[in-house]
Amino acid sequence: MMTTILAAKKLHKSFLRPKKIDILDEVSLKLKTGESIAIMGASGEGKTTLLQILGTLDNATSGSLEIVGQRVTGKNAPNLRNQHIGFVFQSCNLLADYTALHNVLMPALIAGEDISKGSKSYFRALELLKHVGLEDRIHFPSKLLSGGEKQRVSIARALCNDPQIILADEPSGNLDHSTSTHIHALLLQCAQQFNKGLIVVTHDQELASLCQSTMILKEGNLTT
Amino acid sequence: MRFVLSVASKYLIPKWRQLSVSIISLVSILVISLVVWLTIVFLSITEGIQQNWLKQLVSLNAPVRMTPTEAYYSSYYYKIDSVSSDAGYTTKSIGEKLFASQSDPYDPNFDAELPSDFPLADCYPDGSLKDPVKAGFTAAQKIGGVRPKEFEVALGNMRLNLIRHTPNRGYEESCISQVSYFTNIDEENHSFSEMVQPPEPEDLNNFMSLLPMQDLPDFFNHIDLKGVKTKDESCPFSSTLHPYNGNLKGCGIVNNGEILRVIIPQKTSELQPLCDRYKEMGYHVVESNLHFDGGVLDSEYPYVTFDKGVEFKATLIDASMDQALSYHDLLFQVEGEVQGVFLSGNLPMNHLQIIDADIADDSPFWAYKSQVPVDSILGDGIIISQNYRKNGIRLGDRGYLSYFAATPTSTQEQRLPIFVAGFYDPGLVSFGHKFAFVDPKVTTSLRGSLSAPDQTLGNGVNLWIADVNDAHKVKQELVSQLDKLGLGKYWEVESYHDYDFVQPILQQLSSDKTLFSLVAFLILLVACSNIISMLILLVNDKKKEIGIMRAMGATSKNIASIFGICGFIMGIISCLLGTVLAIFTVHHIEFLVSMLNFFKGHEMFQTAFFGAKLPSTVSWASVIFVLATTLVLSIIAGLVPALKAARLNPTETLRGE
Repeated sequence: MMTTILAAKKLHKSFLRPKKIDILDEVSLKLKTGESIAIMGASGEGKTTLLQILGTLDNATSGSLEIVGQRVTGKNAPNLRNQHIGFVFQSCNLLADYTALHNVLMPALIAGEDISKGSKSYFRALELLKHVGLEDRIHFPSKLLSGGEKQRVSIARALCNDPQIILADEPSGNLDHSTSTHIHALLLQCAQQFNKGLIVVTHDQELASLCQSTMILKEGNLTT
Repeated sequence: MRFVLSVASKYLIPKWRQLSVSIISLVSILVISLVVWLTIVFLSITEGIQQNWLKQLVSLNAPVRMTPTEAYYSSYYYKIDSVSSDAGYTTKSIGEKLFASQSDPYDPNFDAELPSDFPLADCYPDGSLKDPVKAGFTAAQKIGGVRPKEFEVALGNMRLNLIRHTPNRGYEESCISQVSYFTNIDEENHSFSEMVQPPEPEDLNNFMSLLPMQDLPDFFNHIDLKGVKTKDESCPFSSTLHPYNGNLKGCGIVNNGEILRVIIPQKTSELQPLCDRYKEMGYHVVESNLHFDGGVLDSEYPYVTFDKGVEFKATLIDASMDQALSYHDLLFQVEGEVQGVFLSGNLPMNHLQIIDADIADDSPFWAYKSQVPVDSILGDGIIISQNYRKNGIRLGDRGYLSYFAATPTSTQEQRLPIFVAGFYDPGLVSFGHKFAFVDPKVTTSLRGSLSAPDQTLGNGVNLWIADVNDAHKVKQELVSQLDKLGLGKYWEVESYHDYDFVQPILQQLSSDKTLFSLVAFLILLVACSNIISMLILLVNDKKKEIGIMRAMGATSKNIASIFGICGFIMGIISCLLGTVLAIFTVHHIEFLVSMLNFFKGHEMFQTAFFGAKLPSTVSWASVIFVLATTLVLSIIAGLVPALKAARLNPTETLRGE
């Protein structure tokens, strides 16, 4: 059964500086398990802002957000983020001094889990790295990985704590076409295989076409 | 917590990529450990010095003292002795009162009627007279670990004659006269014997030279003679010293082409300096060889003597004592090595002086070892301050103690023969050198000579305790005991904190410690502010990572803790480093002092002020103080960057990329 794992109601976001801009105007959105939504829109329309609000990294000026049935507040946001949301960023945002494996393990470490060799989290991270095709890069320092490999690590990391929601912000923005295609396929395949709800912010029509639905953010409103 | 510690430990490991951060953190750690080291060493040494001083200060005066008040001297109890026949019509000292057979010697049937203004007797409800001395003494004894002992201090004039023998068996005489406080040695004062200096060789030589001939055998019976040396260059090479075979080199003094005399130094290396010395004096000198063959010395040298300072092991030949007219005539059996040749034989005392000897028993008649000697001929032994050594006074110098005593017709000078039986170290007690320790009967004689009670002179009870630091507690307990007994008004109880001569010294030391602690605190503050700069640099450097970790669910508290812990761990590392160094330094302080003395070319630490050697015990109180301060400061230093890191907005740092 498909349950709603993310529900945004009338999200409004305005920036006061340098001058007052209403970047989001009453945006409402629902995401169900196994569902994939692509959000498209021109640059500066507030796609990333919307994604950060949905990911509890930023607060909406008004409106409400529920993640797996829990209303997001300042207090529970970090925990919800850690347990139920996985991020895939445009620039990967890996921790440069850590290996691929430790990057994947980071959400588990933050959750306070045992990540030592032989632990449950350790095996899960190895599995995920194998799944994204990086079994021979497990102990590579992340700074030595290629762009595509970094993004694969990033996808594996997003899945580490087995969250229900994956939020991806231009996941192939910095990659060449061929690598992008692979990453798109991997992301969608992972979301589908692990039954995750996926929201992708992208300019890429090809990626959007792979998602079950596409929404357009224009002048602060989200339309299908 | 696992996450926080894992990330913090990663950040603390120096990296080339973060060279500036690494250098700042290393410098911070070094500066803090340096300050921790310096502070612990300074505080440990000052603490040790303070304890040494305190020990010295309370060696002359007990840590707690009870002295009679004005009320005591004007009481019936004190005055009644002056009108009682049983008490000999004289007032009594504390010691006499303590051993008096009865508290109230007045007999109304026999003694004269008391004047109407005579003080009233202070009695218990049962009508018996309160005895402040006996009851006070008993009250003090009842306090655990307290050893009370009465003391007396009296003023008198000490005159010491300095008779010094000259080489030609003559003598020179001078004298020193000084008004001094005479007090008895308290047998309960266990640390007094530590303050008395052991006799020096000059003391022994002086004592021996001043002793009457009949006392010399006794003197030698009481010392364990170990060594002698030639006191000038005129000690003849006795024929009994000749070895069977051997060669000695000497400095030959030549006149008109003939060697008149050969002087033999102890070592061949001393031959050249010896020859040079005589050359400078205008003599023509040559190096001469003495050859012994079968016990016979080459006869071409008419006169052979030893150089000054040639040392031998020696034992007195008892038979020489019977024939000797003065100590000069004593003979010693000596043996020693001169230029590698073993010499053995007899030498006379007149060319020798004692260089090494021990006091052979516990109570010699001539020097203090555990009690002040009293001799029927020499008089009363006195122990005076070692400052007198600077004036040339030596053990055995004799003189007299004069005081004025009232007779029925006039006041006459009385003289008691005395001799110097020891020197004590007055330490830092400003008036310490004016004290002379004598047998209790001397102080009693001096006080007895006074026609009226002199309350300015000391008479009271010393209270000796095992731990000086308990002084204040003992004082309070005694005061409350005396008050309970209704004797509070008769006694003034003081602990060493109240002594006028102790306060400035202790206050000085205490203010030095406070000042240094303040300076150390300020330096620590500056050093810890380095931690702030380093951590702020680190936060700026790790902005992106902070954003990523926040995106993955790290709370702002987690992020703050990472940087707070970095500051704290740096503090701990610095403290450990500084403390280990400090403990090592304090335990090897003597070596450091000798190095400092070597580089400065003179004694860096005056023994009069700092003691014979610097204390080498770590003061754990100061270690705890320094560590606590440093850790608190480093936590505070870590807080500033921690708050900055916690306030970083992850959307901004992530968007920045």
